[in-house]
This record gives sequence, C-alpha cells and structure tokens, in this order.
Amino acid sequence: MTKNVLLKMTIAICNILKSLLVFSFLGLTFLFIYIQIDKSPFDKGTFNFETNSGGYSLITKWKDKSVEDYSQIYKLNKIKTTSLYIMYLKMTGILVVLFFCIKEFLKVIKSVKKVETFGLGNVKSFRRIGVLILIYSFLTSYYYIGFEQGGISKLSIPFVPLFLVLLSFVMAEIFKEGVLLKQENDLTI
Amino acid sequence: MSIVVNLDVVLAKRKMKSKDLAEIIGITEANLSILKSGKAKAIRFSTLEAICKALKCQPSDILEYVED
Repeated sequence: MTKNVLLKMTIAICNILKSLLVFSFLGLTFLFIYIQIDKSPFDKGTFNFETNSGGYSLITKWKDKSVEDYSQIYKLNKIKTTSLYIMYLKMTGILVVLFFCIKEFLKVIKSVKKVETFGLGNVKSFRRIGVLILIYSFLTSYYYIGFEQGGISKLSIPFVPLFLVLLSFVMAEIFKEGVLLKQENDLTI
Repeated sequence: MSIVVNLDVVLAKRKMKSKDLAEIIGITEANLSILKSGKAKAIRFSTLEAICKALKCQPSDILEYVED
C-alpha cells in the first residue's frame, strides 16, 4: 500500500493537527502569562455560557447581591487567580491528551501503510487512545470558574467522547482478533 | 502438540538438504524450519503434496501421531 492517497492525506492532516495543538499550547501559555501581567486589554472580553454543546448538563451560577447582571461578572479580567491556574492546567491537559491521541492514531496509520496492520502495537495503540479519550471526557465534563463577584460551574456528560472510548476499545478487541488470525496464518506452511 | 513432523529423518534418508527442498517446493527456508521445528500450526495440502512429490514419499512418512 505505497500509493494510497487517503492514507497520505490522513497522515498529513494528523501532522497539521499536531502542530496546531503545539501552537495553541504556546498561545495559551502566552495568554496565561500575559493576563497575569496586564489585565487591561481583556476589559471587553466577556464569557458567553449560553451555548449548548449537546448532551445533558447541569449549570450552577452564583453572584454577589450587589451585581445585577451576570454579564458584568463574567469578564475575562475578573477571573480569580486560582481559577485561572486551574483553567490553564485543565486546558493544557486537554491539549496534551489530544496530542498523544493523534500521535497514537498516526502510529496506527503508519503501520497500515507499512502493511503491518495486525500487530500487537496497534492493539495497544487503540487501548491507549481509549484511555486518553476517557481522560479527555473527564477533563471536559466539569468546569468551575470563580470570578471576583460570582462564579459558574458546569457538570455535563460528554456522550460523543464516551462513545468514542467505547469504539476504540472495540477496535482494540477487533485488532486483537486480527493479530490471532494473522499468527495462525503465518504459522500455516 | 501430539503431531510430530519427521521431515528431518526423511531428508536424511534422501540425503537432501533443507535448503534444496525449500527451493523445490517453493517456500522460504524460514517457513521450512518452522515446519521442521514443530512450531507450525497447520500445513496446507498443497505444501504437503509438494513435499511428498519432491521426496517421493507418503504423508505418513513425514507426519506421525504420538499420544501425549
């Protein structure tokens, strides 16, 4: 399978995604440091928590009695420092998990290209991808942001990643079966 | 496994090297050594036929059943 366009495209897309993740990590770190040095450029940045990304979620909002509107609370420059650190760590975690996910997926694709599809390495890769997506869904299922005059927390069940976890574990089992069949075939003279 | 491959014995009787046999029946030496060492899980009828033809013998000369 040396001239497979689809595989080549997938590898290219994965590499682009990998570099995008690295860049977004750098951008995030830059923003994280910048927001602590100088908060004034972030006056206008407000959070919009109204968007619904699908799935069931439980949102809790609270605010000081002195403030009337939530939009005055949810401002980028009014985040508590501890919340900022937690958010940064969480987002970094998500980026790292996604990066390793793509890396494992690339391993699988490269092995398919080398016509070594049914190896134990791929079984391990799919298991690892499953675990990584599980970590990802844990990381994205809950967030808590404390602002100076209020806060918000959201708990949701991310169905799509959890389904992907299931899918990748099923894939691992399928590949395990494939490895057994390949061994059987290799030892048939 | 209780099936023993006696290919070594037949080869010695015919004074043939395993390298030559592999060449005649058209399989790699590595595969032949898998067969001889008993690591093989199965043998194709076509391979068996080729071996019998090359060594002028019967399958029973090569394969033997031994009770555990």
